[in-house]
Amino acid sequence: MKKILIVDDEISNRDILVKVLKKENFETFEAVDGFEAIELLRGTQYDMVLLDIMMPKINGFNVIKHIRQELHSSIRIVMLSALSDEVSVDKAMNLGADSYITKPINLPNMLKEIRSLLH
Amino acid sequence: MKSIKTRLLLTFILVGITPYIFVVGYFSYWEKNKIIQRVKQDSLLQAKHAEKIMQNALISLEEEMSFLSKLEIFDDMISNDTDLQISRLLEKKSIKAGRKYLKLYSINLEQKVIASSEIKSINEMFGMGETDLKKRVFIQGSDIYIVKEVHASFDESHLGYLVAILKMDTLNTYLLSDEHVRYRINKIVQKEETTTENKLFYTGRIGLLNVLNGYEISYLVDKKKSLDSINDFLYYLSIVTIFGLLMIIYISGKLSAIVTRPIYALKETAKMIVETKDFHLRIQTQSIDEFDELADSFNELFETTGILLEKLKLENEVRLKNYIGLSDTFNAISQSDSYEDSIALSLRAMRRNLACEISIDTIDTNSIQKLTMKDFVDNSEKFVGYLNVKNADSLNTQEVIFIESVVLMMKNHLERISLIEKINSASSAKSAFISAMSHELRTPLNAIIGYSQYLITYEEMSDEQVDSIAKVETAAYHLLNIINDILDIAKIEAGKIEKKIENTNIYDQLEEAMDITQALVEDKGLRFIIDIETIKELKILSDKKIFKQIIINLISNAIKFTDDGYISIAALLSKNTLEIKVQDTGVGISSEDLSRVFDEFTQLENAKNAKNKGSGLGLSLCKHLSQEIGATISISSNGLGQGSSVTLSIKL
Repeated sequence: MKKILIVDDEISNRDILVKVLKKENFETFEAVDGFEAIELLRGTQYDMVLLDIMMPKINGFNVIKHIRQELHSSIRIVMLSALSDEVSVDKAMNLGADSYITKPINLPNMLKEIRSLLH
Repeated sequence: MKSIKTRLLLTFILVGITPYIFVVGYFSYWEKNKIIQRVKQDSLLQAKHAEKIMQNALISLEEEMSFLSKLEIFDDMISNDTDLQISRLLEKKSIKAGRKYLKLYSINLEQKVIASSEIKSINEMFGMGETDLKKRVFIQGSDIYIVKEVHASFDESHLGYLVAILKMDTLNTYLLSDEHVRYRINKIVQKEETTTENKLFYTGRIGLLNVLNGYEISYLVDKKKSLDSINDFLYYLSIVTIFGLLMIIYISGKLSAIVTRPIYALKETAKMIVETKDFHLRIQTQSIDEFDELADSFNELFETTGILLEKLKLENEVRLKNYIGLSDTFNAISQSDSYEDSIALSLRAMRRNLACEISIDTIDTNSIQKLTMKDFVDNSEKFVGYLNVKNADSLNTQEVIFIESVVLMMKNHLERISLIEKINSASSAKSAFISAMSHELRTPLNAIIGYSQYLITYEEMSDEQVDSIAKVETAAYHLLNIINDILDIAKIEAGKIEKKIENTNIYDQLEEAMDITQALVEDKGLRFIIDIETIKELKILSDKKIFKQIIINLISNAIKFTDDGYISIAALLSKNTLEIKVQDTGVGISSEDLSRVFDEFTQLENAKNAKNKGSGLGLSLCKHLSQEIGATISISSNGLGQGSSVTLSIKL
């Protein structure tokens, strides 16, 4: 079973993702902000991280930066953000994200993307 | 126009010549007549003198004859004997008179010559014809006859006559005549004057009254000779006249030159000054007092003008220097973008151009002005500082104006910086608002849509439940669309839309837009009718994404209001315009609604009834986006139920 870390400060957002991904046979883990995410990423090997951007303490961009530059990890990073502007998309992709999905999430499309990345 | 010199010359000549001509005229006419008159009088005197001489000569001759006739010797005449004695006496008398042509005859009553100064004629008849010997003196032929009766000394009986014949030609011997004056004795005629010869000028008359009544002596004077002096006088007068006239003209020329020379000197100096702009030139003074004064006045004028010009030039240089300094300063100040730089530049400019200590401080030491500015960020009057100037009293007006200008410029620029700060902060506030709105509105929608999809996909629900949840999902997506449109418009209005104008293949963008909307068209059972082949190769300068979004929006809108039929997309290329026409067979628009379809939040009555409600922002957003790429958008419809047609026009 693939391990997916869900990082989002909004509980309802995490809840939906956990529910859906479990149904789709993924092992899910949760972090409520960037700081907690980095802590978890240090200790555990995940297959993918679903990462929000606007979070307290450490934002999503800095989490990508930490993963790629500090941990030197090639873990799949899929951004899930309400920021739909090009500047944010480009910034995330340039920092090393693998995909960028804007909220509100279209679940079928998201699952398609996750599967293709983990294939 | 006549020059002063010419006028003066003419005046002088006129003044000189008029009296001269008068004098010459007087002499040549009036004096001439006088001289002629005098010559005549002289001649007359001479003639009178001659007459006197003549008369005396004749009278003495007559007296002599009288004396002779009374001599006793003549008593012999009675005897009619030729008396040689008498003849000898007569001859003696004739010779004594020294007159060769004086002939003396003694004749008897029978007019027989009994004695004569020429002895050979004795006994001849006295050749006088019928001449009346009783006359005392008479003229016959060219001879003067003087006759005296001879009476006997004893009884007074008439014995005969004693006759003296004097040839008239010999009269000249009594008178002094020369080649120019001649005398002649002739009978008095009624003519006043007689010119016998052309060369003779005058004929005078003297009656020989006592001796020869009815005769006169004419004296003839050579006219030419007598008038020689007058002719000479006139000849010399004419020479003097010509010489005099020449002298007058020459002197007039000299005089007018002397009078006008100073004026020419003045003119030349003024001309030189105009040409060389050298106000140091001066008029050389002459010896004419009035001109000296005039020249002095002009020289003074030149000097004053020169000084004034020099002063003006210096002032202009200062003014230009100030002006350049000021514009340099303004340029520097206007380019500074902070309060500190602006103030520092202003101070530097003032210090460089003025020789006084100048500063802007928070405390008032020698302030000439308290500087404040309007702070646009918090709409207050902000204190900048005191403009302290040491020795402010020594500043001249120009320098004060300079300081005021710089300070005003500085103040204006400080306010401009403040205004820019305010605008920037307002703009960033708007951007932040848009960004926050976008995030905050999407987050709850994410939950709604997410749970709806989860329920429908993974939970066991009745058809009725699935239907309800599906409606929630649809409504959520509708709300999302509205939010997206509002945010797009807000972005455009805030100027936050990012544009990238480049060479764009319109055909490709239209294809992509149709690809994206293909599924929606198929879902509603509609079809595309496409006519865009003519612009397959056309590239224009535009923003790809904005153009594509406009087309997608127009197609989406058309789909929304069309239940059956087709959506046609056509490209129409003319000389300088490209038109993209999106036409549908949908509900159409009434003519009264056509004008307001581009207004925000406009939903038409028939559109509200449509299955897919619009946000009322679609066409408004298209209009905003069109403006961003310099295109115009228009809509037309043949009325309700007749479909509608939207045209996007792009200037090439």
